[in-house]
Amino acid sequence: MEGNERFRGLLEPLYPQALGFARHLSRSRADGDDLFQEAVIRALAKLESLRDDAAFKPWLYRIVISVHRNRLRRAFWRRFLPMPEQVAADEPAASGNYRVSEWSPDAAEAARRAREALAKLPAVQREAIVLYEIEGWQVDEIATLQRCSASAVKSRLARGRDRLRAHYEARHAAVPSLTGETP
Amino acid sequence: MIDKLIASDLAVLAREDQQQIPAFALPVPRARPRRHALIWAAFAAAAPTLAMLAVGVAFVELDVAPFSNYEAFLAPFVVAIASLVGLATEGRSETSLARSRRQASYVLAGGALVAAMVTCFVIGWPGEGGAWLQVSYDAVYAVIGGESPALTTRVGFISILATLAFVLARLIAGKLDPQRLTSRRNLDAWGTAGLVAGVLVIVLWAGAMFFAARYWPLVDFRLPDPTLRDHYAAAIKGSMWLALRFRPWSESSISIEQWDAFAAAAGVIVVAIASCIAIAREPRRGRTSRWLQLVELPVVVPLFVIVGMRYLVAAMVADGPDQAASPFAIASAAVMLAFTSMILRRRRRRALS
Repeated sequence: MEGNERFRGLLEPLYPQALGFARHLSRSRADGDDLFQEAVIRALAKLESLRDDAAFKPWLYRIVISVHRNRLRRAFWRRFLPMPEQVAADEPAASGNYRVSEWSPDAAEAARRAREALAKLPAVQREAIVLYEIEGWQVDEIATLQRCSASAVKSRLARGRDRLRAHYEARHAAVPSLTGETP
Repeated sequence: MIDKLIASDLAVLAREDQQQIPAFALPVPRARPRRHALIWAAFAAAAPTLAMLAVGVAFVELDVAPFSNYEAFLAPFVVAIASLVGLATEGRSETSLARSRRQASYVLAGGALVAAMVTCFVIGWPGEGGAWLQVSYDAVYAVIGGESPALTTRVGFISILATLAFVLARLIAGKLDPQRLTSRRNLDAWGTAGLVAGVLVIVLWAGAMFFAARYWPLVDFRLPDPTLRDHYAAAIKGSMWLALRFRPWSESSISIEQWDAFAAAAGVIVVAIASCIAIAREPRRGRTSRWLQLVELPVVVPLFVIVGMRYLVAAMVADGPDQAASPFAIASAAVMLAFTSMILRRRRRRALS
């Protein structure tokens, strides 16, 4: 029970952020919730191996990444099923069609676009992009998390951005705001 | 502009995923189940299998092809349905699975079920000389002039055997890993080996029943015992004769081609069953060796089973036990036993550690 209390104390402040990270990595919010739950269960089971509580955040993120990669590996057959898109379409928009920015007037559509583009990236590039662009981590921190060099992270970021750009140009070139009709 | 759109979309995604955060709740590990709960859970776990067996037997009694013509068909049918039921209830008590994952499980299990049925049908139909869909029987029965009353007995016997095998497998699994019985997650490393072995027994016995009932009147068992009219006794004795490499006296009653067709059909059935199990099984974690993962793939067992059955059949039909095919049959069986034993011991070590 002591372990549970310790875990609760460590996880609770990080909870929304870590859950958001899991959702960013996944193809749908439901998948992200599932991923996070699996990661939390694993973290709880392995809590004794965490010596320094100050390192809880990278430790937990590392587990989320590890679980995410495992799920990708065993989800080979799922790529032939059109489920993720259906699920994403079925999900209610979290915040409705509010106007978020001049570039993305439709929030639900923008989120769907971003999720679809991220899903096209290889796992390591997706992780790097999400951590750097959304979570605001530094390159060195990402390198530690991904267990690679800083230059490798930079390379992943550059390649990931190139892929995102290519995907957007191919799929969303007709977005009104791109044609110069900036609101 | 593209870059700005991407940056904007990512920012929206970040904000979107921070919405609708469910209330924080720490997962509570489940308490270890009590002993009597385990026993009841074993029977509960076997309930879908029993129900499917009842459905299968009903199909046979109602002369629904191909069940009425090929009783071994019951085995893949039951396993596939049990897998489907297992997937449908997967993790319901533990977590709320993503909807896509549940749907994918349904699709995969349903596909496996259909594939097993179609495969058995396609393999069996040519061997039956096109009589597969007929309610009545083929030329072999025409020779003796009438239907065999042993049909019902065979089905009943196989059903009992299948039930015992499944319940036994579940009980042993529960002994090794109690969590399995309560979680009702799908088949893991042990479950795969255990069920393949269990189903193998069923298929082999079904094959023995198939042979004994179909060709019984045409071979001389030199056993003019009135108890032969007791179908259970006849089936058991026939299986024992077969297990002891009994050689039909009237070889003209069955050709090597028929044996080959039967062996191929049985092999494909086992592959279909293994495919169902492989699809339904829980992904195993914590592996350190790639080649061990390869060895423990569920399809390895059926491969040896097919090879073993092929040579076993050849040994039985052609020249008897001392025929050249026998060593291969014995070697295949030994490899399969060693494989199952290895997985069982590993599983036990893991459970005890």
